[in-house]
Amino acid sequence: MIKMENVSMTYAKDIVGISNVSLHVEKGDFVFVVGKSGSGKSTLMKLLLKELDPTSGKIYINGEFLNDATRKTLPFIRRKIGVVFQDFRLLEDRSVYENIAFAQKVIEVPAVDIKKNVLKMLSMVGLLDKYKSNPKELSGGEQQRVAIARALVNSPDILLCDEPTGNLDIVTSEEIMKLLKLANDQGTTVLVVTHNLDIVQQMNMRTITMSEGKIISDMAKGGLAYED
Amino acid sequence: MKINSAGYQIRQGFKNIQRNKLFSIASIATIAACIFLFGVFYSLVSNFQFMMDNAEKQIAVTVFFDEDTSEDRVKAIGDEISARSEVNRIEYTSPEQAWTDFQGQYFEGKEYLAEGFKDDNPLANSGSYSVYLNEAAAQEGLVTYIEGLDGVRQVNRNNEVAKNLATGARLVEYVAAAIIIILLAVAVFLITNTIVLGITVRKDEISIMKYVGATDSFVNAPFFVEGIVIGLIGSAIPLVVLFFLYKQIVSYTMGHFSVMKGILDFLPTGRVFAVLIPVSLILGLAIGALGSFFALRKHSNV
Repeated sequence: MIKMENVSMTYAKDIVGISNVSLHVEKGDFVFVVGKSGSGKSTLMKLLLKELDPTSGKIYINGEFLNDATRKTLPFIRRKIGVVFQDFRLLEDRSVYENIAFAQKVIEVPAVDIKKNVLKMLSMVGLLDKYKSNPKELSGGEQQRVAIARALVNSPDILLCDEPTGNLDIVTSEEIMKLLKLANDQGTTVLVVTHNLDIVQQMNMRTITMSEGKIISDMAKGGLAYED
Repeated sequence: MKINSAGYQIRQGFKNIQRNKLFSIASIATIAACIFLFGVFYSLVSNFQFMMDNAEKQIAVTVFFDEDTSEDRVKAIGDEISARSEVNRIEYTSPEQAWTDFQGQYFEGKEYLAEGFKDDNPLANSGSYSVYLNEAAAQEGLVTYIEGLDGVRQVNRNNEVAKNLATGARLVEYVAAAIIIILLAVAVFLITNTIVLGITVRKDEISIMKYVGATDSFVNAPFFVEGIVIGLIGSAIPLVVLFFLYKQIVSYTMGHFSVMKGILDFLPTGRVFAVLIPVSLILGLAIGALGSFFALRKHSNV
């Protein structure tokens, strides 16, 4: 599902993003990527989204060779990847319903299917009663649920989450994690970048630890190679 | 792209214009100013050209013949000259006509002066062709050709007028073209800035679109719609203004300067606008599309 082979990425002025990283995530896996600030987590995410190109090494997503993706082919690879950010990135000039529908509209899903799919997602994240609300009227946890609904509405094979609980309290963070687990149980491969170690321990899932751009441990169940 | 999406893109394009109302108005105003000036220059140049063409057609080369040239040969020379593409028309003045014209011109009121000539025609060898040209620039070549014809004694020309008219027409064309090119470049630059602003305002939206897998054409289309709509509105406004202005100026000038009729002959409104309307709309559309293209090429990468 996700395969990185000896991937390195160096920014300008020789600042190392990640160095010689190899990673294999199978279909249906739930994986945490943890590490201190500057450990290379965000670079890893950006490489998987092809916001950045690797300096060397190979990246495969769903069997597609990401290095060779062009402006024409990249959108179709990205349709199989859902993304959730720490800052939600909801569009505040439209309602909760419109935010989720937007993700379908821009990949030209027929209008009849959009309504059905958005309502299904709203029901899944428990926000059916708030479909008309503006994101500004929602709590942080609710906003993140809308963001997750938006990421999942196109039925992606992979869900990438960049610090999804970074702006949330512990109780709300647990709710968000439950939602991510639910998506994983329904077959979506989930990769969560976080430094919330409490959540990682609680979820007890495969955990990859990064430090100085390298993977320093890859534990099957909740093992941590560093302390915050 | 699906039809449903095309409708969505067009709506988004109009929404962009509404969102950036102030900048959109500024861009429309700039394009309007450019197209207005373009229209003014075009009207001036086309009318100047029209007047030049008329003036050029008044330029005549006068051809005189050798003393013993037969009438048949004179007619043959006329046919050969008429067949030339640069010749607009040709008029023959017989020696008798030349003498009559001369008397009318110089002996008016003193007809007794002509009596001394009795039946003699002092201009017996002054039969001539007046050859009118299509364009002044062709005069030199034509004169050389006519001078080479058998039976031609002398060709009188008007080098200065021909040269000045040709140079004047060319100079006006070059100056107008340079000014119009500069104005169009300014318009493209300004519309690029407006679209860049639109992209900046919608940066979050664009990044979400790209993350969920929207194609470049889907993301870019509303900005092209925005640019094209601004371009078209910006070119339509000055066309309406110019249309009424042109009619007014022509009717005012013809009314107040009727003595200059024949020199100040204006092109009819229909003829000017038959070219100006499509050219201005295409220019507006091209400025808008080009502005959007430059803005998107630099700023829509996520």
